[in-house]
This record gives sequence, C-alpha cells and structure tokens, in this order.
Amino acid sequence: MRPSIRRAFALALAMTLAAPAFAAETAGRVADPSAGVARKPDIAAAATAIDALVQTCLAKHQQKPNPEIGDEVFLRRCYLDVVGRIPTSAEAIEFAKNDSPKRRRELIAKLIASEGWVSRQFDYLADLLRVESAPMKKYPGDPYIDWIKQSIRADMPYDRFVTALLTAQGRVLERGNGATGYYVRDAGMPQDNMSNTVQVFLGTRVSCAQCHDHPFDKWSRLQYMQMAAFTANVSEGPDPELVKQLRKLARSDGAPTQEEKQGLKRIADSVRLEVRGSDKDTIQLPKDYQYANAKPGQTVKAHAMFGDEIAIKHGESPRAAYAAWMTSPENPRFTTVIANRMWKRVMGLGLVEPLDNFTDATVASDPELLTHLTQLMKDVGYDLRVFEEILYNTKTYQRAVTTTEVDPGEPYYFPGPVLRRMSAEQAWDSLLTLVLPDVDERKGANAENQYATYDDMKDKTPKELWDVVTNVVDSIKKRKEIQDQLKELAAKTDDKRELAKNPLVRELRQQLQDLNEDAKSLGYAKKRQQPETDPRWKGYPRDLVRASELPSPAPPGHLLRDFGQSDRNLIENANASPAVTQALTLLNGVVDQHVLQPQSALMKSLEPISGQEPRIRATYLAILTRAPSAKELAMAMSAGAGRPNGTADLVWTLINSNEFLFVQ
Amino acid sequence: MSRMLAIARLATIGSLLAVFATDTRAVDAYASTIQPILAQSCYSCHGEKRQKGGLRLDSPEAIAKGGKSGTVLVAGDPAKSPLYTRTILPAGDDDIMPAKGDHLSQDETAAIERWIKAGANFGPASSAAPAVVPATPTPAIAPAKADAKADPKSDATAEAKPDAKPDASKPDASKPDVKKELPPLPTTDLDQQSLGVKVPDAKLLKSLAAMGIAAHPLSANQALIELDFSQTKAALTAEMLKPLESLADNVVWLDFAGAQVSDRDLSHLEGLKRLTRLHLEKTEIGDKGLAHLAGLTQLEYLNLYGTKVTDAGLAQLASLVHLKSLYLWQTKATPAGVEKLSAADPGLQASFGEDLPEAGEPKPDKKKGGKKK
Amino acid sequence: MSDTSRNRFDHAIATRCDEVTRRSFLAQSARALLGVSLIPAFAGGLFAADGDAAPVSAVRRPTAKNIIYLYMAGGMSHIDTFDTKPGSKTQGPVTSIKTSADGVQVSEYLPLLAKQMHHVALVRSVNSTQGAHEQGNYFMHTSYTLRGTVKHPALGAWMLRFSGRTNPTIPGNVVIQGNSNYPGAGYLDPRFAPLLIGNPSDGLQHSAKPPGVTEEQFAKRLEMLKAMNQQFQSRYDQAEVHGYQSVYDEAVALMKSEDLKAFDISGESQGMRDSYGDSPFGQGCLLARRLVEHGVRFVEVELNGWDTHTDNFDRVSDQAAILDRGLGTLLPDLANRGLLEETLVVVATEFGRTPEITDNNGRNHYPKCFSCLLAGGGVKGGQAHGKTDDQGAMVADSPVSVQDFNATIGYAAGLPLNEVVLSPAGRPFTLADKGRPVLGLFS
Repeated sequence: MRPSIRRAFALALAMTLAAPAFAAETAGRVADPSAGVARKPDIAAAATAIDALVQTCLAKHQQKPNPEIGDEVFLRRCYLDVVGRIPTSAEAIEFAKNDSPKRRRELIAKLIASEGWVSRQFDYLADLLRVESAPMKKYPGDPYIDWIKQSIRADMPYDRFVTALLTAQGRVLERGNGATGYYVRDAGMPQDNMSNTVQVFLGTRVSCAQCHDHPFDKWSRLQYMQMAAFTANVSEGPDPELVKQLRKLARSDGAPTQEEKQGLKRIADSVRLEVRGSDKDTIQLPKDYQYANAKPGQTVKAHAMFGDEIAIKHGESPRAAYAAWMTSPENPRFTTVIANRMWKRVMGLGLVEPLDNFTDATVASDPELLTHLTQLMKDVGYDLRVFEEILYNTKTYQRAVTTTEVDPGEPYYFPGPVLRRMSAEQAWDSLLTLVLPDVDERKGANAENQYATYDDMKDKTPKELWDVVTNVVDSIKKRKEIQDQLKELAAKTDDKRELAKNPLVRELRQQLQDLNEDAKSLGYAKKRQQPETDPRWKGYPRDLVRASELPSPAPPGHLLRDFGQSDRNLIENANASPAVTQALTLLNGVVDQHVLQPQSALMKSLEPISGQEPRIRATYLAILTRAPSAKELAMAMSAGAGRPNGTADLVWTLINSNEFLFVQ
Repeated sequence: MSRMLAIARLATIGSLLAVFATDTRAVDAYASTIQPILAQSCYSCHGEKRQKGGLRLDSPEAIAKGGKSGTVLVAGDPAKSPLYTRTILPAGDDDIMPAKGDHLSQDETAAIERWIKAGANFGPASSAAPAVVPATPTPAIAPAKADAKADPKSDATAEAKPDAKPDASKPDASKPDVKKELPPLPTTDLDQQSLGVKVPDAKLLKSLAAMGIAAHPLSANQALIELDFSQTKAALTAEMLKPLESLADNVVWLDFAGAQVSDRDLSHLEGLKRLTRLHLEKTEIGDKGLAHLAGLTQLEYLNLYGTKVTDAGLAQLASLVHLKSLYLWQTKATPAGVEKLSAADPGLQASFGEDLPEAGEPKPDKKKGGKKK
Repeated sequence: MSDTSRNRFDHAIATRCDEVTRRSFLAQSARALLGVSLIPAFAGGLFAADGDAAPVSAVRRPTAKNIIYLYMAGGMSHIDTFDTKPGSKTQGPVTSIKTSADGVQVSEYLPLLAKQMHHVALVRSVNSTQGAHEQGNYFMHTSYTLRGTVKHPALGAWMLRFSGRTNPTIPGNVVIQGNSNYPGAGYLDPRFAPLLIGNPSDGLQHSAKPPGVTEEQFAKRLEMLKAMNQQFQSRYDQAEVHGYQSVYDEAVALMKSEDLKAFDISGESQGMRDSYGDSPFGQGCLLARRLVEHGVRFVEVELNGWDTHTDNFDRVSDQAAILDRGLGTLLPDLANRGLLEETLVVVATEFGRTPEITDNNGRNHYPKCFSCLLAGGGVKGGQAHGKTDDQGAMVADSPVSVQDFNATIGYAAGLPLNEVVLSPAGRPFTLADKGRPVLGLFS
C-alpha cells in the first residue's frame, strides 16, 4: 500500500471514531420531530444542486431534458413512488384544491411522512434482504419484519440500521430484538451470509471467491475467508445446554413420541431461538484451499477486504468493529451504493448499473452526480426519508419520463425518469386503494402472539419447558378423543341444527375450544385469523391488506406473485415482465371479485353521483387520476358508461389499460 | 520450498497480506484471467485459424506484435490499448470487439483494464504454475512502439479502425457468421431419406393449417414432415384427409391422438409408404381400422392405447416387421396377441401399461433410507 | 413392469446393436437409389463415428416433440443422489442401491426411480463455471452467463421460437413454481415467454369470464380497451409496453381454448394424484404430463430447497423423496401412454455440492462436477454418461459443459443449434452458445 493511501486511511479511522457521536446526534433529531424540522437541510436548495449537475451532464452529451410534467401526472407518479399506490379521488381533489406554488413540495412532505411510505420502503427492503415470514420454513420471521417496519417508521438512519443487523444477537422473540432475523435468514450458512452482506451493502460480488480467487475482480479466496472470519463464529439456534437438558428429560420419560419431538422442535426453533455472537475473530481455511499464500486448514484472522483496516479494540466484539468499518462514511463503497440505490428507486435507473457489481473500474454515467449524492447521503446523516424527499423535489424527477426505450448497457443521463411498470406491490396496493378505505392503515398479522408465547416461556427452566410439552401433547390427545366423540354424535343425525342444540355436543365443543388454545401455544394448531374489529373494514376479507402486511413472500398464485413479487430466494429477485397470468387476473379476477363489488370504496364513491358524465369523470379520476379527454368521454358515453350497468365496463377497461399499469 | 513456506507464514500476518495478494495476482493474472477471456472471446478470429486484421492474440509474443494497424497493448495504459478500448465501446458500435458473440462483460473488461494498468505482465510461462511470485518476474510488454508514436494525433482507438476496414470489403462482413464457427450437426436418417423428395406444396400446408392440422418439418430440407391432426376438435372430413394422398412421399410421422378419427378414415393412410410413427391413441379406432395399416411396412411406432382394438385386430399387423414400439394400455389386446407378431419381428416391444407407484410406498426412513436387507 | 415386458425391453436394447448396420445400409441405399452422394457437411464431420476411416453414417433423428424440464433449485447434491460413491469417505451415511439399469446405482433415497433407470440416461460429468445460485441458475437455463446488458432466453422460449406451438390455443411454454426472476423469453418476442403457474393444484386461475359477464359485454370491454391502449402504445414505443399487448391477446385466446381443462388436475383420479405425491412438485409433474398430452411443448417444474449447507442428509432425503415420487411416477405414466418416446424428461440443477462434509453436516456449492439426467425423447435409457473420480470431486471422463448439456436437449427436440438469432441490439446468439450435443446419449 502506498504511503499516501495509508495516510488517507488513518484519517478515515479518525473520522470513524467520531462517527458514533454524529449518529447519536442524528437519532436525537429523529426522536423529537419538531427539532427535526428545524435541523432538516434546505430540501429545495439540495434539489436544485442536483438539478444543476444533471443539467451539466446533459449539456455535455448534447442532450435536452424532457419537458416538465403537469400536476395530474405528478400527482399520480408521486403517490405511486412515495407511498406505493395510486391516490384516491379524495386525495386527488385535495391536491387539486391547493393553489399554493409550493403544493408539490407540500405533497411530497406529507406523503413521505405517512404510513404509506413505510409500506413502500418495507417492500423495497424485503426484496433486498430476502425477508421471509418463515425462514427455512421453520423459524419465526415476523419479529424481523416488525423490527424492519419499526426502524423505517422511527427513521433509524441507514448506517445504524445496517449496524444493528450486522451486530444483532440474543433471543429472536424478545420484543425489539427482531434484527436477529438478519442472521436467522441465512442460519447455518455464515459464508453465504457474508457474500450477501457484501453484495447488498457494499455493492460488490464476492460469492465467486468463496471457492476460488475471483476470476474477473481482484478478490482472492483468502481475502474472502478473512472477511468471513468476522461473522463465521456467529451461531443460530437454542442454547446448546438447554437442548442437552431437554433431551435428557425427554429420554428419562421413555422414547419421545412424534408429538413430543414436535414440541421440542418448536422450543428450539422458535421459543428459545437465539443468535449468539462470538469474541473469536478467526476462521479455518477449508481443506481444499488451493493457493500458495496459505495452507489448507490453516487458521486465519479476520481482515477487511478493502479500505481501512479493522482494529478490534479491547472488549469490543469482532462484529462491532466490522460493522463500524462497514458503515463508516469513509468506507469507499457503503455510502455510494446506498445513494445509487435510492437514486434508482426514484428515477428508475441507477447511475451505476447493475447496482451490486461495483469494481475498481466502475464509472458512473454521471460521476460528478454520484459523488455529490454520496456526500449528500452523509450530510443528511443517512436519513433515507430526507434523502428521498430531496430527490422527489428535483426538477429532474418532475420531468416527463423518456418515451423511447433505454437500452440496457447504454449510458443514461437522466433527461427525466424512465417509464416503469408498476411493481407487483404497487399494482396490488393500487387495486386495494379502489377497494378499501384507508388502505395504508389496515394491518395484517404481526408477531404479537409469538411474543406472548415467548414471554410466557422465556424464563422457564428446562424441566418447566418439558412439562409444557407433555401438557400440550396430553391436550392434543384429549382433543383427538373429543373430536372422535363429536364425529360419532354427528354420524347419528342428519340434522345439523338439532346436533348443535345437543347439550353434550355444546359441552364437547367448548372443551375443544379450550384445548385448542393450549395446542396453539406451541404451534400444534393453526391460529385462526384475528377477526376485524375496526368498523372501517368490517365485511372486507382479512387478506385484503397492503403487500407489506401479507406474508412475505405472498403464496404462489397470489396476484403479487403473478406480477413478479420476489420469491425471496435471491437478492432483488422481483421482476416486472409481462405475463399471461397477469392479464388473466386483471381480465377475469380481481376487478370483478373485489373492485366491482358494491361495498368497494370505488363503487361506494360513485353511488351518490348522478348523471352519466359526472360518473364517467369520477371513474377516470379514481382509476387514472385524470379527466377523460373529449374523445374518451364521447366513447364512454356511447358505450353506456355511467349508466347503471355500463360503469362496470368502464372500470374494467381503465384498470386493464396500459396506462393504469405503467408509472408515467 | 522454503520460499513457499515463508510466503505461507507471511499470509497469516494480516497487514502484509494485501500487498502480497496484489503482487501475486498481477503476475499471475494473464494465465488465470486474461488468457481465458481471450481464448473464449477472441481466438476464433484472432488465433491459429484466422488472423483478422493480421492480429493474433493467442500468445504473449503475438499480442506484443500487434496487427496490421499497429500495437494493441500499451503496458500500463489501458486507454491507449485497443485490446481494452475496443471492448468497451457502446453496444452496436461498428468497432466493438468481439465483433461476434457476446460483448465482454463489465467484469471481463475490468479485468483486462486492471491487468494492463498493472503492467500487462504475462507471468510464468505455464498456466499450470502455482500463484507464487517468481524470482525474476517476466518482463512486461514494452511500452508503445515507435510506429504508434509516429503520428501523435492518432489515438489508439482511431488507429485501430483500419483493422475493421479490410473486413468490410468482404460480402459477409456486416453479417455475423457465428454459424461458420459452429461445427455442423450430423445428418440424420430422415435427412438422408429426404434427398430427392419434393418439398410439400406450401399452399396445401397452409390450407391444412387453417383446418387445425399442423405440419412440422422433420428433415433439414423440409421435405419430410409430421402431420398433426391431434388438435382438430371436430369429426374429420374428406377435405382434411384427402391431402394425405398427395403427401404420401412426405409424411413420416402422423398424429391422430384424441382426434375424432374413424376406422374408415384410415383408408387414406394406405399410401403413406414412408410412415414410421403413428398415433391413434384415445380414439374410436378398432380392429377394422387396423386393416388399413397392413401396408405401412416402415412403421416403427404405433400407439393404440385407449382404443377399441383387440388381438384379432393385431393379427392383421404381421406385415409390420419394423415395428418396435406398440402401445396397448387400456385396450382389450393381450400379450398372447402380440406373441404372434413378435415371431416375425423380434425387435417389437409391446407395452400394456405398468402400475404406478402407490401412495406412501415405500416410506423412506430418514436416517437409514428405504433399503431393507 | 411384468417379467415378459422387461424381457422385451432387454431384448430391444440388444437388438439396437444392429442399428449401425441398418444405418449404413440406409446411407448406401440413398446413394444407390437416389443417385446422390452424401452431403458434404456429413462426410468426415466432427461427429463421424470412429475416426476418419469409419463409414459415413447418419444418426437417427431424435424423437422429442415435447420437453418436461425438472429443475432442482439450490444445487442438488450429486453424491447423495445420482453419483454415489460407496466406500468413499465423502459419501457420508448414504448407501447405494441397484437399479433397473445394469451397472447403474443410485442413492437409497431414490427407490422408485431406481425401478425406472432403464428409461434414464444419467449425465454424471456436467460441469459449470458458476458457483452462486443466481448466476448458476441463469447459466443453466440460458447457456450464457448473467450480464447486465442483455437478458437471454431460456430453453422453452427457444423451442417456441424455432418450432412453434403444437396447440395454437394454449401457451406452448409453461413454468410451474418457477423462480420469480425466471429468464423467460429474454430478448426474444414476448410471445415465447412462459405461462407461469404458481400452485399446480389451483391450475390456471381466472381463465374464465367473470360470472355474469356476457359474451357481448366482454367483447365490448375488449373493444374499449383496444382504443385506450392504442394511444398509450403510440406514445411509448417500448418493448415492455408492446409486450402487454401480446400477453393480453394471448390471454383472450386462451380463455376461448377448448383445452383449458389441461390445466385442471382435479380431472385426474385421486389414485393418480396420490401416486405423484402430495407435494406441489409432484402435482406439478402430473400437471406437466397433462399439458404435454394437450400439446404444450415445454413444461418446467421447479423443486426448491436443495441448498443443503446444513443437515445435508436429512434435507436431501426429504427433497429426494419428493423428486423420487414425482419423477418415479411421471416416467412410467408417460411410458404407458406412449408419450415417453416423444417427451424428453430432463432433471437439471445449478451445481452439485462439495464432496467434503462440513462441520454442520452440510455440503457447500460445487460447480466442478455434478449430475443431471435425461430420459425419453429418443434418449437411450439405462446408461450413465461421464464419470467423476472416486471422491465425486473431479470429472474423470467425458466432461459435459452446461452448454453441451443444453445443446443435447435442443438436439433431442430437433432444434437448429447452429441457427443464429440476433438480439434487438444486433448481437448474434445461438440456442446453446457453442455447446455441442452429446450424441452418444441417443438411441
């Protein structure tokens, strides 16, 4: 390493040491919203600075910016990008009524502060971090999901968010400790976890170097292993001592039955699941290590793959030191990667593509702009909400999308955003906007039940836990007996009503109910969905909630999956290509099943409107956020839209149109 | 040996490691990375067989020599090295290399750039040599040659252009000729049989297609075809079947699976002297229909599953001595009925269907597997 | 299979030895009868049977009209499934069992398939250059490495591109339980993109008009939609926008198809459904068979969960049980119907897993050598092509690259491997890149 570079690193180290104070200060700002406003950077000025750079770059390449967009297009785009759904008619009208010259800035500020933004941000992170409701099909995923949403809501700065993930430890079901889900997601695969970490947060692909020197990049297998050493000794699972004791107890009672084994598994995989850190910072090279620079089986010490060296201070865990290095403003890639990601989220294309294959040779399409954005990210203290707000306020964002196709691999200088198909989540959430009132507020399942079970069992001794298992298994046995009895009784009569009146049947059913509660505690019986208690959504199926509130990923065959929601197997695995099943579900499924039902928000809003033309106008506004053109109006009139039966056809047509599905 | 040990020991000392790794890789990069890229993407035009633009890239000496238009590699300066600059032109640029096949990936161009920047060392002669720093490193390629300097205005990219020019004069230059580089596929039996056979009339095939009867070519010259009636949904008509007679030379595979074909309809098949595969499964065909197949002596595959045929019908097929596969699942035919056919045609396999595995059987035990001894 | 029919199969294998004689006879008769000499491409080509002196002979045209492609996502451990290493320390606790193919053994985890190996050609020497899931999966599906500038088509799209559909009213390319980022049609026309089915037991959802909507009303809706979209499509002349037009056209055609029932596996008996196993993969195999019967050219069914970094043996045995039941039923079911001869069944995966067993009782990614298989479609069953060393660590004989493997699949289906197709950016590509088919696999 050259001396000058060394000096730069020393300086970086000094900066890193100063960083915690900076982060704490940022947190303080967030905790007090009124103070936040005061310290918020000048959003308009920051946006203007970005526009100037874009303008310079366009001029340099003899290109002109796209025309500015009108309020209608802006309104729809802004809702879709910021909160992930189309605006309701009421929201559109509210915006239209605002005559202030600052109305766009105000709308952005309002939306980005809303719960809708939390949903949208979660969808993004769920794709990026491969968030699953049931990692490895057996671990609880909801605590992690809750934690991510809570961090977004509380404006946890991105650097702290990443630090929390990388240093997570302790019980997974302990309230507030959901960050442990980051390691649970890759349980037992510390090396893949490291590759994923480096790809997601440093935009660098090192998975090749897991087995051999990277053929095209500079990473050696040794470097990879040294990096992996920081987290190689992290483990996931229950306390091994607990497992030992439980096994002993089970054996002393004779061979455990299948049901008992299931109960023990639930304790190990869920109730007492934990992530354990380690003070060890070494790793053993694999037996097939093939290079001359080290020996197979040799123990090597953790070492940073680039940038500053990571010095583990006395008493500090290797992961804490590594997380500090990772998230340091001086890390040569960390900040740039997230700045580029956020730019793509807003504009539809990164300044560097692909987002996660940075090499030393990577050159951004507009290097000055990327440098600027990187600095901006640091200046706003990694507050993604503020960073995004600045981008939405740029003129660049508020220009027409480019009408021609942007060829992959061709540099794009951002005369405006690019045309995008709605993401699966945007499509689903937009359709729900037409079906439900206050769609952003409606919540789905959370981890409350799991926390409650955990609270119940967190301090139990192995003996007590074993008692829980045997009790539950007993109640399952009893349940089976009662079920058989009930079946017998049912077989005697064809009259269901009479059966229900039978006092014995009633008594047995009550007993069964109680036993079910027992069985649920260890997951033997499926929990029934909590009934809707909020009057706003009475009568709407429980699974009509925003994508962020549904299981992650949604089950195969769900509209979300048809539209390309990630299956969470790989980083950023979502897809926006056309597919026949998408057409089928819009042609024959969701519109008639939900949107055209009398209780849907859309149909209810159209009901009081009398007159054919006003109804047509209201339909256009609700679905496409605009007024019909004269030609469209005439066509709709002649097709009978706005009349009792004709409205359905118009609604159907507008939802099926390309215009609905693409974010202009 | 002692040197290697020393290196191994060094490797454990973290702070020195980065230095070490960089050096090793710079020296070894040619064999491990650059040469494979060149072999994969460049040798086909700049190698032993062809030397477009007078350039070969398959040895360090040849790379150093450059091509008709001069040097391709300036050690330490990727921007002046066409070996790099020509690979990073925008897609669709006339001068981008490779001219055929995939562009180099960003990874690959980055590797070339890094290698040139680091001095374009060609490393140990044998690519199998371990990644160890040699006692005396192979000298790097000499910096830019005199002829490249002769015209100071010409940058490397512009200079490289004449390279493409001579090619442009050739008729096929603008068209990719990947095909030429792929060895031909073997000729098939049907290709052979198709020699001299007239290609079916396109109009006729089109009119068949309009009735839901698809034709798929089976020989390279498109003379031999499969006719597919399996997607016709209504009863077959003479209009649909008559064309079989004029296509007697062409039809080698014929598919009536699930179609509404009658015993009588099969009379139209009698002239299909080349027919080798015939699907009649899931139809109403019975023994009477089979009588029309007796002359189809080239038949190798006959699918009768789910039809009304019996042993009596099979007896009429004794002349089909090339028959290899006969499907009789869900029919009244029996092995005894096939026995007689097998006498004349020992290659015949008849299938009466096999029972599918039953649910839950066998139950593999997790630890020890399903093996019982 | 009854004893008599087994004997016939054995006999048939023996009589195939006469093939070569028969072929050279054909070659000679071509010359004699037609007065033509053999076309030059054929003489002494790369594929001449035994060096220069061998008589020039044609190969039999492969007979695959359809492909059922079973993808083992996550990387299937070769040593614990199709390439067991009895006696080696890399084998772990798994034992090998005999199969219906002489001299071919497989893992004890595959008892049903073991009875079907006379249909199967194992390829034990597949090797890839890609050791990560995303890259490996993409490479296996497209024959090209993943890059940012172009999306390559997968096999199903190539198949439709070259040989069209058999059934004009239903899509010719269907993927069941596929990866959410399946390469699909790549740069080819979106018409060739696969129809993606989520849960095979649900079949194709929303394929019928909503209840209460009349034929005329539906036609009127489509008419209005067309007018709406014309404006949009002329403003945004982009492939993705036009892609939506074609998937809508496709969807509307599909709704009218008489073959929609092909997607509904509730039309099968319970016994049949049980045979395939109570798993989405098993039911997907059953759906694949139904689709092929109705003229769908290419069906892929994915089985996820092979990424066994931990608890390899427990997990592989669970996964293998699902595969065993699905494929172990699919093969005889196709054979009974006479479909196996015309349907190439493929099992593929992105890579194998390390011979070395880790401390977590797991195996890691291993692209250097792994196993895939082919059955039916004119492939000669009962053989194992290629070999790995006695640790399952290196290819020891007849390496087959990913491109070669895909070329073999394309060849089986009679697709023109040498035909160059230009991407919209004008770059030339072929179906299997420079891969060459393994001709020894065909009968």
